[in-house]
Amino acid sequence: MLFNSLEFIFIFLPIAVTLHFLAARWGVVVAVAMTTATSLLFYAWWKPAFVLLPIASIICNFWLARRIQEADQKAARVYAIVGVVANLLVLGYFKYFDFLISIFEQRNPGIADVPLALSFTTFVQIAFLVETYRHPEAHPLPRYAMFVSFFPHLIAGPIVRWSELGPQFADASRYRVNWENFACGITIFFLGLAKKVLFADNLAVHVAPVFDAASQDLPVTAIAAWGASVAYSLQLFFDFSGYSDMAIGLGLLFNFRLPLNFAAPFRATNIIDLWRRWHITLSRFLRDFVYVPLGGSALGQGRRAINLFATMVIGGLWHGANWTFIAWGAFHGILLSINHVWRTWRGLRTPTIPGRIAGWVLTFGAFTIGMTLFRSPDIETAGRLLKTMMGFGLAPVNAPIAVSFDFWAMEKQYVTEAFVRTWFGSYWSMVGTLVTAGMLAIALAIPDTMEFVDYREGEPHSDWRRGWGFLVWSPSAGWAVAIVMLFAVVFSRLNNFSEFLYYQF
Amino acid sequence: MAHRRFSLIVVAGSVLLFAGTMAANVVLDPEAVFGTGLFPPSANRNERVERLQAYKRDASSVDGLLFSSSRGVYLDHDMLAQKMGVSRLLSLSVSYGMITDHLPILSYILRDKAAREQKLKAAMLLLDADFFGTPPWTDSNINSFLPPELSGESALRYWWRYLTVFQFRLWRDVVRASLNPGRGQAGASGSNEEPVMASPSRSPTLTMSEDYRRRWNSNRPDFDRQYKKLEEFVGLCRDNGVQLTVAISPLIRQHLDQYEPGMLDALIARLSRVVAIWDFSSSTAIADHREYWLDISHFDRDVGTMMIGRIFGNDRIALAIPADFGRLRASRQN
Repeated sequence: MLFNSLEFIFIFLPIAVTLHFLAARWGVVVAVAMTTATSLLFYAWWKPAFVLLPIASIICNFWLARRIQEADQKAARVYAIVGVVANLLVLGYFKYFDFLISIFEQRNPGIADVPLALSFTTFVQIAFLVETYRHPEAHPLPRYAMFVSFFPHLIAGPIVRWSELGPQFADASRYRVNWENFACGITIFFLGLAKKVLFADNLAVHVAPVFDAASQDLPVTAIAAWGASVAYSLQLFFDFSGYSDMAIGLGLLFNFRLPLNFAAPFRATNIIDLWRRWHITLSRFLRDFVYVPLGGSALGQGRRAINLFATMVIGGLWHGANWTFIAWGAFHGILLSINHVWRTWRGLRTPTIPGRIAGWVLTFGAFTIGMTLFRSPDIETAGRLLKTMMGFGLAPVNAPIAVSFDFWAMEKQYVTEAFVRTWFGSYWSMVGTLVTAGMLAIALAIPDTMEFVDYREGEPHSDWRRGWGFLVWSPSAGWAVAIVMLFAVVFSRLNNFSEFLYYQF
Repeated sequence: MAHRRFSLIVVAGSVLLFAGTMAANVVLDPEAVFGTGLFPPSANRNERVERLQAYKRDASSVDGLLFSSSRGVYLDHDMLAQKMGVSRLLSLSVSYGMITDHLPILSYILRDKAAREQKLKAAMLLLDADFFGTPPWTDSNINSFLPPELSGESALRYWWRYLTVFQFRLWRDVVRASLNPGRGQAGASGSNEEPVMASPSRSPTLTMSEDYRRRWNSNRPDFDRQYKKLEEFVGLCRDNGVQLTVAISPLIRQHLDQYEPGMLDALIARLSRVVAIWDFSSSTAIADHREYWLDISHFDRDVGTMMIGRIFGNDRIALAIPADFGRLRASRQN
């Protein structure tokens, strides 16, 4: 079931929230059991038989956590290692098995049929085992089951920690309706929904033709390659940050606070800051469970670069079993290392305005190049697009136009067919360029959802917030009307099936 | 404003919007799937549902079927029934009708006939060579979803879709048409006329170079799937003893010139491997004469009569049929 489907919004969600608070009248355990059951139903909606996988995983990990908690230090360490390895083996079997075979068979990997949410629940449970090893405390199974399966974060994050949600689940006062959180939650949910439906989905139709054409070795222009890569960067941002907003909003409806996942990342003027603001809970996980254990920055500049590189490659591989993700991770590892070297050389000076502009151009440009790797179905396609982006290769002028976005302008004779073919090629369009520019302006100039509502759970170490004065949300009649009207616009577009991009990871 | 009141206003507003949408769909019924009947039939009515209902009304008497797109409307149904030797011919013509529409309903009718211990005598299938293999309209738009009996889709999902679709323009058109009869709506109640088919939405409407348009029109991404469905259609008729006649509809010169030379001919040759086909697609005598055409896509009744005459014999037909109009391309000739 998708957060942006009518059956979720108007049937599942009202029932799940109502049952949660009704069940709470009989006690916290009943409410926890009820919401765990509705969450598993939410998961089963995708493929009923696959619900056995998270159930089995929850039971096994809980058993291991109990062993870790009860055992002495040495045995606990063994249990923790066994738990982490077992989780990774399950993930590896579903996600990377074909990839490994493809390396030996020297072919491109196929598309793995990964059970929904496996990548996210694996990280959530690994973090739980490690936290239990570091702070051995007993936790009840029902609360742990709800912690893993809680449907707002189950499918695509935010990647939560027990230290964040566990205490909230244990707090009996949270099992009563909190209208302040409810009002804030419903606002965040609708703003996130609008990001997905109005922005991300409108970009998707422009992105796909260019990447599909490149994968078939059809000619695309440099403008098309850059345009599609920028458009995809924005699509992914609006899609995933919209999803994360919706997850946080849903959490608040239940009176639980999930951590931030995005903090206006495209306003960042250096790549280090961008990564503090993009998919924050994944970055945090990789920092705490990969980068720091590898030694972090404690062993000198050279070792830090190696650790960063390794961490980002693992982060890339987590997104999918494909060389494109590995290359994307490696690329960002290099960028982060360069940024650290630059900082060491220059010191932490406050940048000038031209310096900030140059920093933004370089950061966004580099991120866009990375997204070309991320979106391409294979490394050959990425290579073709990157080559074109560097100025090599133009579409032949006589190639037919394959997308119809500019036909109205040609029909009205605002532009000629030759102009469109020459500059935008067969698979990109003038309309696509304008839409992308508009969306970029929105990403940069409009307050982020979390700025509107001043939500700060899991705030990143970044000075990213701006003061927006009267725009800041409050439970006023104006905001109520605005949110209902925004939902009306979104509602008129909800009939088209559109999956969230991060469901595939 | 209190947080509670804010929350309740937002929830109430959303629920009202949702409930209003469902009410509008049931009351105005733009696709005519609920059968409410409070407003005149809409141009957006779901013809695929209507034709199933038409069959159900006459199920016991129907012994002949005509499958076609809206072009088949211009065949004289009485004459066709007589020539096919059936007592009750049911036209299953629908706008943009393709083999993806025809196969499910043929399959349904044959099952139904078997349950009634009746036989279907004959069927005529009129295919459009210009559309065969292109992405079908079937199940792609709110007015083209096959009913669950035909598609196998969950009835719950089907009705949920029609209940919850937000279609403001169509609601507005239905209301306008009821306030101003005769304007804005096509297909008066009880009429057998189809709305005139516009240019396919996939095709550019502007004047493009011929070379460009031809390449555009040559793209047939769904050909293999539809070819298999045609084989299945022919097999079903054969297995159930249904006398099947297959024809390719005529095309106007303006339309023919939009295809690469020989492309349609090769396509029809490939289709004729499955079944013998009467090919009316490229007769110069018909294609070059504008008076035979209602628009770029639809031939007139005279052409329809000539087609029937050519296929079934021209006795009692007053029109002179051009020599190059229609040729039988025998099955497995290639």
